Amino acid sequence: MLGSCKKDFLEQSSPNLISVEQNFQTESDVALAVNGAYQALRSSNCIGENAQTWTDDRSDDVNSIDNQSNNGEPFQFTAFALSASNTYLYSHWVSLYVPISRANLVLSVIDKISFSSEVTKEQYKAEMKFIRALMYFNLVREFGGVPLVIDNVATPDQATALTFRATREAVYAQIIKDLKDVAASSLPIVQLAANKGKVSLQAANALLGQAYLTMAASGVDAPNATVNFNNAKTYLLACFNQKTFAKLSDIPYADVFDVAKKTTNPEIIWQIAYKQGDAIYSSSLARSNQAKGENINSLFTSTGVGGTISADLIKEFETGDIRTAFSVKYAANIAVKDYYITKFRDVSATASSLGYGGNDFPIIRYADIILNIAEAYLNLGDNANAIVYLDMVRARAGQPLYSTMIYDPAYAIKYPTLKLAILHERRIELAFEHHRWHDLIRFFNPAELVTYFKAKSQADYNNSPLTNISTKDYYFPIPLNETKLDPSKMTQNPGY
Amino acid sequence: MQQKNLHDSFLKRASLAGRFAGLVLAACVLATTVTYARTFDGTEWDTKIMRVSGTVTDENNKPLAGVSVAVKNSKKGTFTDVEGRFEIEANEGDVLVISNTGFVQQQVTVGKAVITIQLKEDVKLMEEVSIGYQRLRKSDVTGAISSVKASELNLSTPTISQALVGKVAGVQVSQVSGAPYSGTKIRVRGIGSINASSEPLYVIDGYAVGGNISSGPGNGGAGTGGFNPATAGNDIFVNPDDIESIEILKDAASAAIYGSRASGGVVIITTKRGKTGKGKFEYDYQVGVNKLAHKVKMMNAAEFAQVFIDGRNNNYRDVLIAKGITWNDAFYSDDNATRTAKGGGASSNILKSIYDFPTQKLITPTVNTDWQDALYKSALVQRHSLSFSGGKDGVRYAISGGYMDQPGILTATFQKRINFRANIDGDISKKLKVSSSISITNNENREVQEGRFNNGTILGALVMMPIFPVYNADGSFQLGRASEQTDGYAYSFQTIENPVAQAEKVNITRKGLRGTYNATANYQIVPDLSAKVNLGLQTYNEKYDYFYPTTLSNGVNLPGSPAAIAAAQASAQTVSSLDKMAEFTLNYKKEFGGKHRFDAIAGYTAQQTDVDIISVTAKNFSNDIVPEITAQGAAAGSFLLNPNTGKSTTTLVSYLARVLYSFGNRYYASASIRTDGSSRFGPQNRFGTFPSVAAGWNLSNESFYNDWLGKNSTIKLRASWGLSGNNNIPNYGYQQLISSPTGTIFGNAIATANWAGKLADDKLGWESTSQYNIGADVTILNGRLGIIGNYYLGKSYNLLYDKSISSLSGSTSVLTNLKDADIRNTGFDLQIDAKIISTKDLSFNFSGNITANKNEVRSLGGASALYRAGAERSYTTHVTREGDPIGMFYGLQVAGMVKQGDMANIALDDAVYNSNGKSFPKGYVLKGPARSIGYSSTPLNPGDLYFKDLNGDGVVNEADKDVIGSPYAKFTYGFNLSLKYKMLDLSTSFNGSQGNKVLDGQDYYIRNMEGSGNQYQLLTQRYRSEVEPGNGHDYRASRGGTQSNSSRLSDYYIQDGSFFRCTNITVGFNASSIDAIKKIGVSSMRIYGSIDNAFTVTNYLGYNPEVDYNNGSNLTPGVDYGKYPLARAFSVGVKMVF
Repeated sequence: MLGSCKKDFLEQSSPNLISVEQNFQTESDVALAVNGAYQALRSSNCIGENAQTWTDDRSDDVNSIDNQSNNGEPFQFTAFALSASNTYLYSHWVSLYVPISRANLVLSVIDKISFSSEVTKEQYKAEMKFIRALMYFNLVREFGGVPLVIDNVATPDQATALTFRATREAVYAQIIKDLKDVAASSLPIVQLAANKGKVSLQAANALLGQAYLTMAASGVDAPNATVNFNNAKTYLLACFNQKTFAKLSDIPYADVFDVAKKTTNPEIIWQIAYKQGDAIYSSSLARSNQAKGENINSLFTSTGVGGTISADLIKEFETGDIRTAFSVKYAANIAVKDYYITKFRDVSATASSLGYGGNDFPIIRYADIILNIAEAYLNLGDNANAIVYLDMVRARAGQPLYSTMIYDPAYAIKYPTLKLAILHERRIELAFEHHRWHDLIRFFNPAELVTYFKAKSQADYNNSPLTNISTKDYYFPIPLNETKLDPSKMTQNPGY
Repeated sequence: MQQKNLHDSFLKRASLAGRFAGLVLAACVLATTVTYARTFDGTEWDTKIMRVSGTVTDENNKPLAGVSVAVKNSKKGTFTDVEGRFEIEANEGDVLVISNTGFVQQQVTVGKAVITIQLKEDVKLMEEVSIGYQRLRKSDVTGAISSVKASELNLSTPTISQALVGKVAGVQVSQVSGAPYSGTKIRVRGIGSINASSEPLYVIDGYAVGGNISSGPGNGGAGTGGFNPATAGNDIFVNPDDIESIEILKDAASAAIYGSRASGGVVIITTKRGKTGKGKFEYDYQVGVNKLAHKVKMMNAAEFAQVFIDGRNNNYRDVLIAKGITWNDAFYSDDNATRTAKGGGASSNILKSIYDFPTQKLITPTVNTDWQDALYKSALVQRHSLSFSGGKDGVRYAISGGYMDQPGILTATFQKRINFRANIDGDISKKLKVSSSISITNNENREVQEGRFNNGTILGALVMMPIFPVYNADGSFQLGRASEQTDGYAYSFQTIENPVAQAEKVNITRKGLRGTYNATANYQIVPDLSAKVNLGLQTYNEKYDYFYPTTLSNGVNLPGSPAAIAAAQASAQTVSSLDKMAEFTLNYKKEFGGKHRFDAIAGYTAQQTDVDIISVTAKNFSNDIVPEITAQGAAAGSFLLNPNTGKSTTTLVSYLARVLYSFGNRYYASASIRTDGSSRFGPQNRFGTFPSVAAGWNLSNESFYNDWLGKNSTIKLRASWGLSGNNNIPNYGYQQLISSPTGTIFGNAIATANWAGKLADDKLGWESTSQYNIGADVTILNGRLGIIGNYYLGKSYNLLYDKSISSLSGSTSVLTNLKDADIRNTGFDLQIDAKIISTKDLSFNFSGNITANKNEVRSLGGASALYRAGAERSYTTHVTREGDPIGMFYGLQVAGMVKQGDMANIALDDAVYNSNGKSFPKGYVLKGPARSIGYSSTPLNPGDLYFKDLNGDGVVNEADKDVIGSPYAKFTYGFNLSLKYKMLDLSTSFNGSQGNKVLDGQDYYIRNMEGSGNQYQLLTQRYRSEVEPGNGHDYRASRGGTQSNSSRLSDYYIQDGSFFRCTNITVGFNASSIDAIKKIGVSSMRIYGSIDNAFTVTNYLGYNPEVDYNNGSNLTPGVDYGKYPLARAFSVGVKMVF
């Protein structure tokens, strides 16, 4: 080195990691980056198994009574007291964009790489578009219009140029464009057991149907609402028709969550997979939900109160419903004396007393899609067909069909309309699966949402003040860290 | 008559010397030390008006050119030529004033025509200072350079940086930690950076080692406790006894010669070298006791128990009211079962051992532990230092060794340090001179984690509940008390393990070996031109070990539980770094016509630093028998590579040149330029150029000066401008890299995954600081009072900045330069040295300095204001925004405390409050206090604080936050007094800071009124009821969230950090003149006793107002959070020279 003034003496490149520029040479380099996009989904700030803050906590199902921990920030979600500076909210926003940027990078380089099989290349592209579409779907539902980026961002200037909120219509248009590509791709209809966790055609149709359903129900492209509900029906039914079981009731409810059947259960369309017994990649739900003195979830010995549930949700469960006994249990320990969540269980020796569970977290499953179909029919004015699909779920749960229930006075008073009956069914069937908030903002417009919450009893919500809710809470605020970059282009949602 | 006596004695000396036979004339001498050392073949004049000629030499009889020779009280004057000769016309009896910068002025009465004058160096002025690559007479300096001699340092301190505290004007040296293995924080003239480190560059014996080593990939990282040489500072590795002098280049013009690494200032350390002459052997021994300098006043067990009870009862009430239940004070008697059933949760439960439920009264706890007393002990510190030096036949040597055994005041911590140094100089020939320096430092540390109490024992000892004991009856530690459940209930204590057990059982060690090897050859090519080659090598190898045992609790998991055993882990890290430096310089020195003096240097340097770190964590331990990574479990995943593992190479290539010019010892000018190419920067911005210019005017050497400020007074004026840079950023910051592989799951198998890491800017370049400096050096009162003053104006731009970008990019920020950013530092520093009494037996000196710096962010170059969380978790504590200094405290302002009488008004306001939209109707005038929204969890109650509604909209939210205090002092100061009487000497040093605020981040736990951990004793004065309103400042207790708790940072948590500290008192006795000492062969001996950090005057509640939890981070200064407290050291020592 001495005496050298050569240019290369100063040109130092990281010896530990390869630069993005030089990375993509072969098919396997792309494969690792594809896995990278999937990896990002696992975060609790994204859609991983612990992503309840933005969904169940935000809704009426789960209520933290802890207004003190972590600066009181998680509590802001359940208390409808979110501020734009909430750091949890910002992490969530960032974590929804991370998979998008990883997918964008793959899509930007993949065509320059030669593959041994074009089918593999096409499937990778489809998987990336699916992940990108799902993230935009969550963003647009939770925040409204958001910055829309479908290219790899390689320079700071490029990022700055893209920093503006696109309209909800534009975001949905991109979601649908991507998902149509995925639905038309050569992905397998159902993934093999060894590939569970990867996207399939079932999942593509399901998500495309849900996207149409949501945009139509939430007033996007309002003049074409009927068209879009019909599109929703089309793709949801396409998904339904790709099922590999005969009747939903052929699959016992408990099997859906049975850790031993997680890769073979035909109901699960798409899940985030967790590895039993592994310190890093295992599921913590069985362990963390377990209350002190209980052992139904896990061999782990709990000292806490387990996964908390609002009294309002307990009241929603129907008597004798097998789903009730499977989903929640009362812990009698003197320090608990409350219900806790039992939907995710792994008491295997492999999971051990450390509670390293193997539960996969279902993101899309058939009961969800079937109820979406009922919802699509309902919105198209076809109540008869809607009830057919609603009843598929009720039948599997061993509960009387809708035609019977409307004569049950308690049921009829609580759920006077088919719409509320479907919402009720979703709440029970899909409890703790992170659907509830998205369901509420799809079923209700902002004013209806406020009315719905205010009709509830504060006594069922501990110290989460229900009265705090207002129409602004229909959307999360855009995180302060984003709006401050350019307040004129990154506008704040009304009311924040 | 004095004059005559002096003359006589002079003649006696001259004749005794026997070599002054040619002495022609004897002049009448007024000054004290004129000698006639040489003959001059001149003509004698015998008239009244005579032509006086002569020669002026220095003490080595070397002719001095450019010396001013003037006839007093006339306009006649001349200068000596290159051979030191002068001629001047004068009347007999006139007084000639002979003056030259760096020498004591002489006055000679004209009596003879030919005189020889030997000028004596003014030791003070003749001192050479290092200005980087060159040395310069102090008197010729045109920039702002502070110089500290070894004799001015307080050497009873273990590190040289601590010895510098309060000694240097314009340089803030802060004792931020009392750990035996930590250094101080040094900041030169404020902060000009946002992201990049503002640490100065350290240059030890010509070897710049600071910036290049500080940013390997090893800074911090999981489980490693934070290897961070940037905060440790290279300086601490030098044995304080080896120091000859320390120079600090403060202004950008002086620092510019170090280019892209110099904007934080440059600290140049010069070690002692041998002198020709008899060998000298020196031995120092010091022994001392260190104690905790200041104990924080915390509650005792009974006081704590009452907060605990109040916090639970108030929370229980808040929860029930929130649920719509009508409150009745009889509920305070509800037992824990009832509380649980009603939904009170663990935060409403009370230990029955300290609360009598039926009577609602405190039961005085049986245990009353003072956790600080348990954790901090007196530590016995010993230091040995020996050195020998001398020189003969052109070879000079100085060799030293030192050993220090320094246990920390915090039990279990220590540092043992061995220093070795050999400085050898040799004159191979008249033209070739070589020298080498070798120094080796070995350190062995036992450390503790700092910060949050879950691992940090320091905050732990403050938070830990005094109702629990340290030990069991059998002497073993009582463990898991805060986490355990008693009677089947949890109590929401902070889940903290016995801090004494933590300190003892969590084993953190660090062993380092640093070697610095330097060889220099200087060849005189022609008389004025020399070439120098300087080759250096520095190695640093470190082994860090960490072991967290299976037998401590882990959060709520008790010792022995599967989760606690699983939490046990060991980490091991090796750091090996190698720095190579080569420097080639040409030096040209020339004097023309006796008046013009040039000193020029041009050079080329190249430096390369390689750092290699391997860091691993082992898990799944079965027990603590082998507390090493080798005892990890068999399960897959038991062994992990920590993220800071990796290699890095940093390279730097520089071209530099500087010309120093002086004319007639009156006018000085210098200009320098340096071009640096750094591997840290992007290919498009790799090179930076850093120029400087400076000028000085020695006004008092002008013939018209006429002792304007008194006899022997001097005045020098200086002005400079320079550009310096900052490259203190991580390596490879310009490259977007693919992440290390990690996994995702498909089926039941792990699939390898990776992704693009943080976005990067390939235009990344250095950050620049442009600074003007003007200064004056004045000595008056016959040299007894010296004043050095500087005023500076600096502007930093192209800031290296982790700029926020939209996360649509996949990153939240990108490291880039803010082109149009503008950060100003303006200020002055003033140094005063006074010899108040100076007699043979008694001397009394004072030296003092004062510094004021004003920092302002003029522009962030289009970036938005920066909000940072600098204390516990994620709450915002600091803002950096335009118009304010960097890193101001940010939050709400307390407006008052709610009283019972306010409740009716609050109810009236509630009635019109529109919860949908969180606002009051337009025009509505609040009757009660403004309400906090966004973070309101319970309604306002008596005893809650309420905050100022700055925008007047009736609600308190983000929009009502503002700057609530400045972490920067209005001014800092230091002064020293030294008194010497015969064999006794006494010196004292003080420093202080005025007007700065401290954010006590510890308040999140010890001033939160939760009763979940111990509290400041002051909080016994909290609001309890209308009958017991407390001091009106400290709010009511509640374990649950209240409207006033610490999660909404307000000025409640900001304290005055001003302090005045006596850093050292030393009393010494010089026994050298005692005959008995001489008889045993000791040529000099001094015995001394000293106290370091003798006392501190401050209102701050915590340990040390000078704290910096964020280790020098510019955006989050002034935070206290579980940092190692300062020690007060009582030492005695002896220093013997043989």
